[in-house]
Amino acid sequence: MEIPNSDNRECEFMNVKKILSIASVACATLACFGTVKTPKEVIDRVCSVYQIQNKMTGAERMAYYQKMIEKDLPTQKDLGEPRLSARGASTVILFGDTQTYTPRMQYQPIMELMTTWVAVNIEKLNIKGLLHTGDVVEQNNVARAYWGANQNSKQQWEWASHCFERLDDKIPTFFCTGNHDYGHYSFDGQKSKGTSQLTKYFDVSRNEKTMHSIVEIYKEPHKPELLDNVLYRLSLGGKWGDIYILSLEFAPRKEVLAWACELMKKYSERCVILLTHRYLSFGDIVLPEAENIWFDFIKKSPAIKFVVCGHYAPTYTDFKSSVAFRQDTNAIGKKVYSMMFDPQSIGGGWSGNGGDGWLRILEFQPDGKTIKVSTYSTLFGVSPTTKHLAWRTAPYDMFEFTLDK
Amino acid sequence: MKTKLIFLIAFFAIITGSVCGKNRKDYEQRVMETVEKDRLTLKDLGKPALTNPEASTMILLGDTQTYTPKMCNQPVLEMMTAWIAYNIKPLNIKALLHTGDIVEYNARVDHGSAFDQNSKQQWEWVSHCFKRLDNKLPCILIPGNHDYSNNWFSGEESRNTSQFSKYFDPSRNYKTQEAIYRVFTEKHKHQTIDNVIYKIDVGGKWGEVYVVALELNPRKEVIDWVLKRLESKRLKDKLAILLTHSYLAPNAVMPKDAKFLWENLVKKAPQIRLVLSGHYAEFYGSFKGHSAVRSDVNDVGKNVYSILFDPQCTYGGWNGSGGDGWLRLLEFQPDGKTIKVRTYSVLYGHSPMTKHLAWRTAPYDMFEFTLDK
Repeated sequence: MEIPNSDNRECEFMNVKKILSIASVACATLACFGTVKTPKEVIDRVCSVYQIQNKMTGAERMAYYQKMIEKDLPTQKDLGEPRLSARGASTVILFGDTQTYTPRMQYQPIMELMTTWVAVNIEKLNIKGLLHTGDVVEQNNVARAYWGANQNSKQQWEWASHCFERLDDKIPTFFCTGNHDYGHYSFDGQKSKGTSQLTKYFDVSRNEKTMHSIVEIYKEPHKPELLDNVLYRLSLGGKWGDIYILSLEFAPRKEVLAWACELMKKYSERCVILLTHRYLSFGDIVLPEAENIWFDFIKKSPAIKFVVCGHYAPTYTDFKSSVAFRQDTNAIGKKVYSMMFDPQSIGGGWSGNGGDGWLRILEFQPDGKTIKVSTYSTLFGVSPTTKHLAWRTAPYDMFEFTLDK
Repeated sequence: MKTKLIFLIAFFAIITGSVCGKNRKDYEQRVMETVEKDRLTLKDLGKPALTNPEASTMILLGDTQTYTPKMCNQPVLEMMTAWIAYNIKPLNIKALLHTGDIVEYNARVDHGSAFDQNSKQQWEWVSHCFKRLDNKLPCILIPGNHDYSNNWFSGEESRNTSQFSKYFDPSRNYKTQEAIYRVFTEKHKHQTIDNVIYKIDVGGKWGEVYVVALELNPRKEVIDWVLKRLESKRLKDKLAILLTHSYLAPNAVMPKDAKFLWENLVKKAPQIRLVLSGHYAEFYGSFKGHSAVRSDVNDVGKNVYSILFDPQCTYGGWNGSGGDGWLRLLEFQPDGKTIKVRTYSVLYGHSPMTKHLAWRTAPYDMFEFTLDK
């Protein structure tokens, strides 16, 4: 694969930006507090991935990437058509960041391959809902296409919206806002809150299942209601009963976290899944920028059993760096699991195909507390020639865990 | 007729077998054996690019019917049209040719037990995919047997029943509209785009190339109309490409219907030097079972090449993806007489994990030929 020059520029630009942000914040946090849970060597490893990639020329980068692919290939298997592992289990589908599917018209249909696959499997897998980790599009509100891409924001949002038409009125879909869903290209400070076009394109009137799932919405005085901070109810049936999905905006503000804290007191006996864009990073660390979510909210709210996020994967990455999973203990001594899933750079980096159609299948077991996670590619699964690549079977891609109830 | 019958019977036997599940295992094993064998001909030849910067390209799509009746396969078709739209400039694409069988069922209200989309959904989907190319590229489509009647062509009475003219009315795409040179018109009937002669400016030494796009097994009156048109002063010395749904069969056999067309039209018209068709595909979906090329000598002693391309069954028909995104690049070389044919999968070409599978390199999938002048 060749990368046009403009794409290289984009990668470098974004690399520099990301390195600066993570390095500076990591150092600052380490220096100021010292109580940070993240070991320094992990942060160093995280930073070094960006630094290594940034120093490379285009050819070196491709060679590096090829090495990643060769490393990952043996973990890909043909496990056949997806099916439920136990009778009475139900499924929730997880989409990672879809941003990279949207700005290049040639790759857009891969995203629709994902939503059609979900639509076709609703009955077979007993699919109850879909979670999206945010960064639905690459640029929230730009008038022209940037950096070697060919679709502007309107086209990107319309495409994402079009793909999800396949699921309208069939299953509820739960989104959270990512940094790319704010501002022009990306989130530029708390002042850009309220600028996301998510509420416009994914207005719940389009999908009655989502509409009926809404329990609470965060409201600001003098401002329209937005889908940035919402509590949804999701009925899984069986021993699970109703679970709740709390979707919080990118980098939640203090007042939002306070609202969520207060809200969660009402649901302390329930099982709530927190869906927010930025929380874990690859390397299984809580991002220094997101530690306030842990300290100010999750730790204090025993209702939150499981956190799902996206956002943080380097460009030209291997499978391992596009995912993360960890376990923490909250204030009352119960386990809280968190999981990051962001395949956006798998299909050829940040300017690649968007993530090879990878999605996650979260299977809620009939015992009412175990969740089985598997990772499936709708792109490879669609063709008999490539279905041997359709499942990722490494321990970080296929595992199960039991919630502490 | 006999050959057609045999194909039809074999087709049904295998469908029933595979769908009922009785022979499912044997069937899948055979498919996998074919996959393994064909895999050896697949290579990574890099991103598609012109082999000569002065050349121009026409894209050939085989039958798209199998992408349409199952929702899960539909986006593969849009991957193809979106890819074409993106490559119009880099590959200097001048036109898109479609071998017919655009959808699975022309006009059925139900979707049948094996599928989940009815005719309206199928037509609307194809039409939606081609929006990517509207006003960018002339798109030349023809009706195949599945585009007539309710299920498929059921004799001469089903002429003019295709919904194709409705969904692909040229008004949607001014490039197609501009490319129309003559339309076959019947008395007392609506005009359709079942039989049209298009004019494509390929540029360079090629100049104007005429694409004669004809209905399934063209009627005598259509053939006469074409012959008359081709004799006109303007077309006399031009190159014409015949595009019709059913002509060449696998292993470069010419079935009886094709022989009729050869005797009555192709052989007699010195302008026609290339015939493109689809329709025939071995159900197990081997590459060799749906692509072929042959040459015959016409009345004035010139070679006429014919090409079959119909990847609809690639690996297992309804159990596959509908054709794995395979399309053909016909590269018109600047010498004005050589055409390079290459076969590329948009589906595999998109991912670094699978791009080593994106090009078919067997002699029937990658070849070039030179037209006699």
